[in-house]
Amino acid sequence: MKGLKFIFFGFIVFTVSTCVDPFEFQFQEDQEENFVIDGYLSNEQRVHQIRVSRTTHLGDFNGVVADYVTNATVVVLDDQGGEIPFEHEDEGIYLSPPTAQALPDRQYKIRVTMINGSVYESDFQELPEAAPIESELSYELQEREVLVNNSLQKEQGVSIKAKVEKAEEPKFYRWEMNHYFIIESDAGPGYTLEEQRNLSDTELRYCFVKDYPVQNIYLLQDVPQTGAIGSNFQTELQFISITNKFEYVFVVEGRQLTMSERAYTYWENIKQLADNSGGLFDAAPFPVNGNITRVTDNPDGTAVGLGFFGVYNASVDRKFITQASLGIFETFAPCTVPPSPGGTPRPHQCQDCRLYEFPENYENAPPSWWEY
Amino acid sequence: MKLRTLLFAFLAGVSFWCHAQSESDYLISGTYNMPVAEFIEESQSKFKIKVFYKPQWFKSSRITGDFSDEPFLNVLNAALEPINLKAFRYSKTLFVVIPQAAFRPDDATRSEGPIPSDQVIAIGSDAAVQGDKAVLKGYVADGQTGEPVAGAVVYAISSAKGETTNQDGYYEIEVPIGQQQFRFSFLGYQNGVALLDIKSSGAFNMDLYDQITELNSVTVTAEGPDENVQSVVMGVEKMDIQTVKRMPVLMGEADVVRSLTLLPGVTTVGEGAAGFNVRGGSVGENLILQDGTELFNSSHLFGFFSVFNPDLVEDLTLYKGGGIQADMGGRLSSVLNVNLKEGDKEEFHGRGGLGSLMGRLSLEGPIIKEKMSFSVGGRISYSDWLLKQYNDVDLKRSKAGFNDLNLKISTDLSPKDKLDVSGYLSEDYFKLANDTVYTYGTKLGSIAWSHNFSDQFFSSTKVSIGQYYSDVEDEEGNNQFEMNGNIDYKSVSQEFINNTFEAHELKFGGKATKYSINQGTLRPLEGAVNTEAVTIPEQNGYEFGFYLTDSWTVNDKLSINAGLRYSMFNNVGPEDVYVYNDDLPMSEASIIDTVFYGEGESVKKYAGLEPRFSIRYALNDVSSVKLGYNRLRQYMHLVSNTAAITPVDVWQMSNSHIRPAVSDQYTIGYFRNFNDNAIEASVELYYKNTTDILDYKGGANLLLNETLETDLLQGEGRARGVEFSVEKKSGRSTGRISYTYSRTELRAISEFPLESVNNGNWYPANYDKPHNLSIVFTQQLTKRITLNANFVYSTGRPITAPTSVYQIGPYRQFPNYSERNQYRIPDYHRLDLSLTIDRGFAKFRKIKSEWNFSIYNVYARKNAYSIYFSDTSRAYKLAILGFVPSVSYNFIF
Repeated sequence: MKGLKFIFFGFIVFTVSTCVDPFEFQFQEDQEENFVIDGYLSNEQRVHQIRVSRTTHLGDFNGVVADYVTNATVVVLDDQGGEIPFEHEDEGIYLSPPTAQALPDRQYKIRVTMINGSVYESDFQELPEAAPIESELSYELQEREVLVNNSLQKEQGVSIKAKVEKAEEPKFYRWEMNHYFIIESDAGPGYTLEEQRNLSDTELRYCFVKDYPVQNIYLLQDVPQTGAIGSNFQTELQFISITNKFEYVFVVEGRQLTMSERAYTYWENIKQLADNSGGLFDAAPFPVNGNITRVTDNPDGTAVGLGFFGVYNASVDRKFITQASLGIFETFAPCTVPPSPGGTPRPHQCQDCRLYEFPENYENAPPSWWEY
Repeated sequence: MKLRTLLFAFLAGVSFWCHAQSESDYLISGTYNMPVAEFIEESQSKFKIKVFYKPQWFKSSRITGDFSDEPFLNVLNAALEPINLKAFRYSKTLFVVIPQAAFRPDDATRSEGPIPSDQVIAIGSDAAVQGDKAVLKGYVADGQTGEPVAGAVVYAISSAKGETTNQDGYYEIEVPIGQQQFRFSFLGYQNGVALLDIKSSGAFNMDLYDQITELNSVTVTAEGPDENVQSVVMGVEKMDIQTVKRMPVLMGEADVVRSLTLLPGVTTVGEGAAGFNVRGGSVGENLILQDGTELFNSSHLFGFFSVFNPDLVEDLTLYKGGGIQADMGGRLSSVLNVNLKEGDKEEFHGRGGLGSLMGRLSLEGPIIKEKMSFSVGGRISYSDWLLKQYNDVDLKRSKAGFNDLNLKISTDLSPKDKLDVSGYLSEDYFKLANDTVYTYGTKLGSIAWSHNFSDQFFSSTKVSIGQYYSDVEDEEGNNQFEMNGNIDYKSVSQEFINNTFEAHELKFGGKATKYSINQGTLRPLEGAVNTEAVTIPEQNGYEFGFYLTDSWTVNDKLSINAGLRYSMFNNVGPEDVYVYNDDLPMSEASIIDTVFYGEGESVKKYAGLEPRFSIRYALNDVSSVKLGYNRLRQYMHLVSNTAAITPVDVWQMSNSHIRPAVSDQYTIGYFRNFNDNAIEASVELYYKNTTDILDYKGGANLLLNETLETDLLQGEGRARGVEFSVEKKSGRSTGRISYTYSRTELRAISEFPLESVNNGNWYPANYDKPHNLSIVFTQQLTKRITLNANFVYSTGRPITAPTSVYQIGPYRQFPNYSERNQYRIPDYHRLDLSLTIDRGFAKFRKIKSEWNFSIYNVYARKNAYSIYFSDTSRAYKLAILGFVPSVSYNFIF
């Protein structure tokens, strides 16, 4: 019931909020850097990723690349002598072979050896029992009240929900959510999606893009209730306002991760920190310890790393949302190229969607699961 | 304003509120032969009255004689008469000694407001006629303030004779015997005209009235003029409700608790925070009493307003740390006792007010005239409109408010017996959008019986019952639930006061309280699909305290107040007690056994002596040095890991795993009065160390936690400070400047790193604010307009800030927090102003009204309510209360 108190805290802060200003805080920085190891292995057979980085000095982080560790040796070990090596890809992300997966009845831990010889390990984690059902999303059009010019108005949006089936034992869930959509350069070539499917080395009108992920932490603890085992319920994960991202197809991807109580507690604490507004009614922030410990030069065991290595039961579901499926027919203003102040106009996103910068711009070759 | 003038003002000021009080309450019996000052001191203790006087006036006068049920005032006046002094009764428990020259005889014929021109008033008697002339004498005074009107013209119209009043408003005029008209006049006042039938020499007092409005009655101070120097115990702060009401207010509402934070050594963690901190103590270390009955919640609307209805409060006394004598206990830092008014036993009255957020109405009057009275009052808020003004969707759909109700019935069962029955109900609610509803409140009831066995031996018996409760209900979504928590308590106390021994006042008694704590029961509602029922087992315990105190006046210079308290706590079943592996940090995983205790079976007992003493040594008539030592034990703990307490915070009693907190406080002070006690100055130093103070682990889950002890720590605390205060208490300009430097630090150290905070080093408590300055200034601008100004400055409270950031997930960064409370938010300062316009009882007006215009935070400083950090560690300052003007209207009828 930690969340219960936060509702109250939030109320207080909102109730009396009148003014928020940036503040020049005189930080005293950590003298010692610390390592952060973040990632997981799931039962899905696919490429898994582990990120290794350092804590970043305060004030260095606004628009500055984080201090990624690119030269560590990362390996996941199991209790039966198996090893899964991870190779550095980019920005501190280490990738496993595509065959990597967590198997039942085994325990896994991560070992990261830094270039200076110090070694960080997690404790052993095992694959939790699978959820009664795999990831299953649903969506519906809803109206919510929003504030416009200090008055309440209705706004249309899409409520994304996950289906959860009650189990005999408590289950601990986290969802990773991603959004994809088709972006259109209205001043670009007049191709249709079909016409540009196999084109290359040309400006494109339609591109498949992965949106910037929403940075919320979606958690749910399913608690057993007498007589309810086998029944199911929906839990809302997101409410997405209708924008031009819904002009063609909007894809919501939800990866359901089932985890141990300890891993869940870690994420709950991380979420608590994220929600902390430093007010009188917020619990004092605290260092969130995961399961990473330095195993070299650490006789009393007090030197710990940050982050958590988890072993999760995972499944993914995607929903392709169109205006027709929502029963709406919105039109959106076209993208227009601004007038050039002089000289030769440079290529513009409204003329070529390949120029849009997203975490992933698949151009005219979307992921294999995207059928069109 | 001269003291004498002030005393006159007392006379007039009480004319409305104090009617025909019986003097038979305080009866003197026995053989007396003692100095007048000693007699007064003894009577003050015995009757719980207050006598204002200057000891030097008495010289060597003594009270001598055998008395049998002789009224106190008669005995005193008999001794005062030879030295040209006179005592009068100001209110039921207040007496004033003044020079006879300044006395305005009550037996004089006096005007009761402007007199109808055809009304003939007889002066003197036919039997006393001597000659054809007579001397008429008396006083001319302001009809509302009682202040003498110097220079007023007294004119006998038919005989064309006139005189003017002296500076005391006194006049004497020789006039012919017979009926004639007199005119009393002075600039700014309506002429007073009286048709007097002069039969012989006599007295006639005339009250003149302002042409438009009348002044309010004067403010009555609850302390003697040299209380600061003469009292034995340090750290006792008294405040009358008029002082509280004059202060600038937030949202138009006078607030008892907020006014306390202007006193030296009293702070609050921030705006809108419930409760207060006294000399390095947490909010949970304050014992809050309303008419002697314990309150667990002192605030409404999240801490913006206090639970005390200012219309019903008589006065309040804050006993800070070292000022807590042996008759009080149970908390480490302070005792706040708020006394409510008794209803008027003669006439019906009412009072009320309208402010920005709430309305008030109270009534009082006799049930049986002169025997039994009632006082009832309530407040109700209408604060929803405020929420609609905020630029937030959820708030516009939210509701918040409160209401409270007080009832007090006082009965004089006999001249020696008095019975008070009190009741109190309060409830707060807030509802966030269409979601969760929070409700919390207090229910209190008490019966108090006081009995005088003799004029030197008194008894006070009290039985009370109370409950603080909080309910949370969510009727929407998958997690629909209802959660209830409450603290029930029942107590009985008995106190005796014995003044048999010369120069000693003995006080002894005891108190027993049963506490039952339900930290929370969570019940899924019918529509819940993902809510687990949780029931935290009820805790039960008995707290006992027995004490003996002696207030001993050794001689004129030395006084001692010494006491010993023995307190006990017994945690009783039914209860399951977990046994933890001592070799591991306490956690659910380290439970190795469970022991069940049956109903009423003792689970764990704690007990100990609590010595208290104070010594005052008078250096001279105007200065003294005082020393004090106190030991206090606290068995009931407020569990909170937020800077300010919340309504859903739980209380935890001492048990097998949670030990009582014990503190020792040492104080020393120097007190000096100036200008005939018009200015009081003091400096006090204190040092307090506390053991087993409750602390918590990082990320502790304190709500609905069946193994709460696994998230708690018990450490030690140390607090030290020096408090400076200069106060001017009389005159048209009054005020107080207080400065406190203090530090409060905590330490939790353990062999297990998980059970240490900041590696076992001392760290600042949430409420550690070293520098505190408050300036309170009141200026009587005119007879009916008062200007008040408050300025406060304090060091910013400690916060925990990140020392670096790190990335989790694809893009998000999180602050990396390390050590607790190593940083501070910016310093706080604020100026408030208020203007009170008092429309007194005019000649034909039955309602006295008052307007209060206040500005909170005049220069609109954006004081930091909090500093928070974004995921890129950028800091933001949240300010909550800017420039807040308000107006309130109050009335009395």
